[in-house]
Amino acid sequence: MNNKQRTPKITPETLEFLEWHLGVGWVLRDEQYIAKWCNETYSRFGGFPREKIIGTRLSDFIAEPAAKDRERSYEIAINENRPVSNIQFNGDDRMISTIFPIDEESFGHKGVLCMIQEAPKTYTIELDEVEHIVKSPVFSKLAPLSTAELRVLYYLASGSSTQEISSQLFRSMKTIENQISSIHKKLGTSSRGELVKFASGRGIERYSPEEWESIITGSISTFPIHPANNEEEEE
Amino acid sequence: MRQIPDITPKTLTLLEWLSGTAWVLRNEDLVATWCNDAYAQLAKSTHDEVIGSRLTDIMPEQAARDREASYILALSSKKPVRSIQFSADDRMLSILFPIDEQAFGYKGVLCLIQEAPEITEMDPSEIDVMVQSPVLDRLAALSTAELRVLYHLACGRSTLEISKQLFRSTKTIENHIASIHNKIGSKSRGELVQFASGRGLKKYTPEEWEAIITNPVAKNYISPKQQLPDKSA
Repeated sequence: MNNKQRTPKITPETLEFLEWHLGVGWVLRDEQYIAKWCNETYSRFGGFPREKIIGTRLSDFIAEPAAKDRERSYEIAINENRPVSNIQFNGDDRMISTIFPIDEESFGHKGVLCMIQEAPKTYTIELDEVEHIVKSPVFSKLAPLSTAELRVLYYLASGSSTQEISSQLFRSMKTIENQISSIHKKLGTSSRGELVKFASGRGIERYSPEEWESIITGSISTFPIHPANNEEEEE
Repeated sequence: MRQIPDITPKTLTLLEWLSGTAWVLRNEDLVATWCNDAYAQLAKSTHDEVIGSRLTDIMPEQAARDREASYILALSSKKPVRSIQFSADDRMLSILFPIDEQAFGYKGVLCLIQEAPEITEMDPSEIDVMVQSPVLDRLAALSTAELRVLYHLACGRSTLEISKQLFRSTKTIENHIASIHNKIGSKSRGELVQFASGRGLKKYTPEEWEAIITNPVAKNYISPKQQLPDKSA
């Protein structure tokens, strides 16, 4: 039986439980969307210690339009007193976020509890559970890439060959090869395999080509989301 | 320090909403009494099929025993237990929470299982148990040598690099790769690397991966659908 119709009651005890939820970021925000609490994983996503996150708003870390886009879900959650889910591209990864209104009485104020995690790669989340695809992405390592290169990256992530990319994008093989070597330079990758690994670890290929197009041509903001966590290379 | 959380039926109403993380509740006999949608999807079953089933109903005996050991540890220590395991062809993080006996009316364990995060590394000190026996799905068709090659593909290595790592000729590696293509149904190198690197293989050390693929359970697997409890029996 599916019980999703019931809005869960979020109380301070809920947070004690979420302290244990490794690998999934949780943050509590008040009515002004100021962070009041977050778990360890959220602080790692942000690349800042917890005390630096408490008291901040999204716009302290990412560009105003990107922050506004994400805060729209907070507004719906509070106004309609129900959970809201969205898909967003943050710090070079496709993420799913669900926002829960909190129990005003036990917290003493209104607010939202937000969950954010890498969208699962081995199974698909039903799209009807996601209310909107947040268009404004936050790029980190991907920031130096041109729109044409981001288009090529999508097909690399989907495992396409140079030939296939060239026929999908109506460009010559030579052009695609040039774009790929430019991507290598910007990302610091040296082989095709390494590049495909980089691209496909991010869930990019889970977007439809149209969704990806609207993301890379939308309002892009950049942020070193996890500066202390530059993917270490194995020996 | 983290407080030991109080898991009550109210907790479950929150977990119903988490579509990216799988949760299942098991009683003292480790029989499932509740699960969320994501868990049913992961187990390739319906809710009704999950409820009343045990781990031994969906995986080989030894793999189930290995996982049940963490449940038993959570029940006896009355503390959450965190483990890393290779299940459903993916490197997974599992956290087992003992439940509030009074609130539920029985003893039991709430189990979280999710893809181990890639971009946020976990602190190894936060992991209590490394589960050895893997549960393979599509990867079950691969030979041990092929699973070794797959690891290096997931790490983004070239055929030449793999040949050096494994002390085999590039010809042998090429043959392995062609055979993997056949078994997985991938057509290009890119597609294969994409398949392999989405599974967190590369987060294991070469030694850990070797221990996983040479575990006897790896070659003793029947797909979950065929293993569902036979309700007519």
